[in-house]
Amino acid sequence: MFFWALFHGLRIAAIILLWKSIYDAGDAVGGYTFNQLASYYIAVYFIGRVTSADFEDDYLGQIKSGEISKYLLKPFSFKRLAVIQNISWRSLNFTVSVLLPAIVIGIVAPQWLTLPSPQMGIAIVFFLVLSYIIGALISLLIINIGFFIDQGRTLQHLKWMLTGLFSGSSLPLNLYPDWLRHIAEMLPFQFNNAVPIAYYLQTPPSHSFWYQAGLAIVWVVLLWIVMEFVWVKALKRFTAVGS
Amino acid sequence: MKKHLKLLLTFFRYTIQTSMIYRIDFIVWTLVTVGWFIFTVVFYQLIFGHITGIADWTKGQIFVLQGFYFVTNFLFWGIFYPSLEYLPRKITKGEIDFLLTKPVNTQFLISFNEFSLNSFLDLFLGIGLMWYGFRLDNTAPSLFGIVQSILVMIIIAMFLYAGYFTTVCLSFWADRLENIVYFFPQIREFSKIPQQGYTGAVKWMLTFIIPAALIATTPSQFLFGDYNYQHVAILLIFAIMALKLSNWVFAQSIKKYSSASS
Repeated sequence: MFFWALFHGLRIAAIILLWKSIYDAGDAVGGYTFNQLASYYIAVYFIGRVTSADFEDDYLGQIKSGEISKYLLKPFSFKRLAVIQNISWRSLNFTVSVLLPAIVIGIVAPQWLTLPSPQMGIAIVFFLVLSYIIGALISLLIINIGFFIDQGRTLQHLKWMLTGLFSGSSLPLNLYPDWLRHIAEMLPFQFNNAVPIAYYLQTPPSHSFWYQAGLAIVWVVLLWIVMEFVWVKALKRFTAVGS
Repeated sequence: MKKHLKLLLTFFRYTIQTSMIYRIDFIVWTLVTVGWFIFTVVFYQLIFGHITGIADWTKGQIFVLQGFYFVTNFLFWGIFYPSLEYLPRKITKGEIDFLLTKPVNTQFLISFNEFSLNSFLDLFLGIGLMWYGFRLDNTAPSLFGIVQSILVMIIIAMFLYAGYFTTVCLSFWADRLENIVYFFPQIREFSKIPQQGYTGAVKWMLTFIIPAALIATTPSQFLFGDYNYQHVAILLIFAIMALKLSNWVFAQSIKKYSSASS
């Protein structure tokens, strides 16, 4: 718990320092001030702590060793268990990785924290929930694919790479070249950071609320169908030895 | 020494064989590496559309710096990570016994029993970025600079390995620390900026407390003909200290380890 918070915190600190060294030279990028960019990356950290659902790691090794059987033989849904366990872990994690850093930043650099309006707050919560569902479905999909390939962890790295590239966690999407931004705006990863942050920082979103909400729901449905399909195939394929 | 080299060769042959078996993993890792590479190039091309330099480093020099970052990617994901990836899980399950009973240095056996062939791509892409950086600036490194830069990189590899191994050893002391394997590589994020780009206490901390700012800066400077031996001395001291610390921490950790098997 502590290490994940530190892990992501270090990454954000490094990015903010990179921008600081750029802005120290008196340059400005894409009309952003340094404080606006710092606020953006602070938001990336906080929103990422709420929306990312990286629970596939726990189960991929168990698929490989056959230990996953202990869940499959029980009279409850393994997928539901995995999500509920992750939500409870995330709730515990909230104090360490969200509340405490928020208090520290609030004292040290209050200009980097923004308080959204109640209306925006509702939009943010809506996208945070959808983003978590998308993240959980992707994690479950990776677990399911782990039944077919030996080194499922590579898929986790692929997910991280795609999230880093298309979620806006490394760079605001409006600074991307048009062709790359258009791709990012079609994919589900933008809901991980870019979309909730646009509402949080009250910057003009690239599309209307209803368009983005519709796209997020389409992705939820698509991922759910694919995940369920692979799950059925995975169960048929799975074999384990031992007790 | 001869025995260790022979073992390394055997493990490397094993890596080649397993890479050929798990082709999908090979393809996915390649995609991951290429994806990060594309992102790095796009990111800095984009930034340099708005600025002229970072801490007086030109666009070409920044690409050389990023090239060294990719070389450290190769060190972590290609050399260190494949062996240490499952160490926390092996400790939990008491599977270290099999390694402790072998007539070879256990730390060596734990650290270098597997490699990742596809991460070699990071090495080539890193060298490619350096070549591109020099091409942008219309310059070329001297042979003397290249040789010294490689030697500096060996010192950095020693420091990174020892630091990584020491942090992963924490999993001997606490249960379910499986994500610890991702923690230490993260310090390299601070090497993406030239050391001169940091100021004040942060600069001091990233040079003298954890020399993360020197990881890519120092070998890059040697390629540019700026031979900063003071930085090399700092890195060498840290590498030796970190190696000694890793030996000591491992010895203490093994004392604490209790097998779960027979």
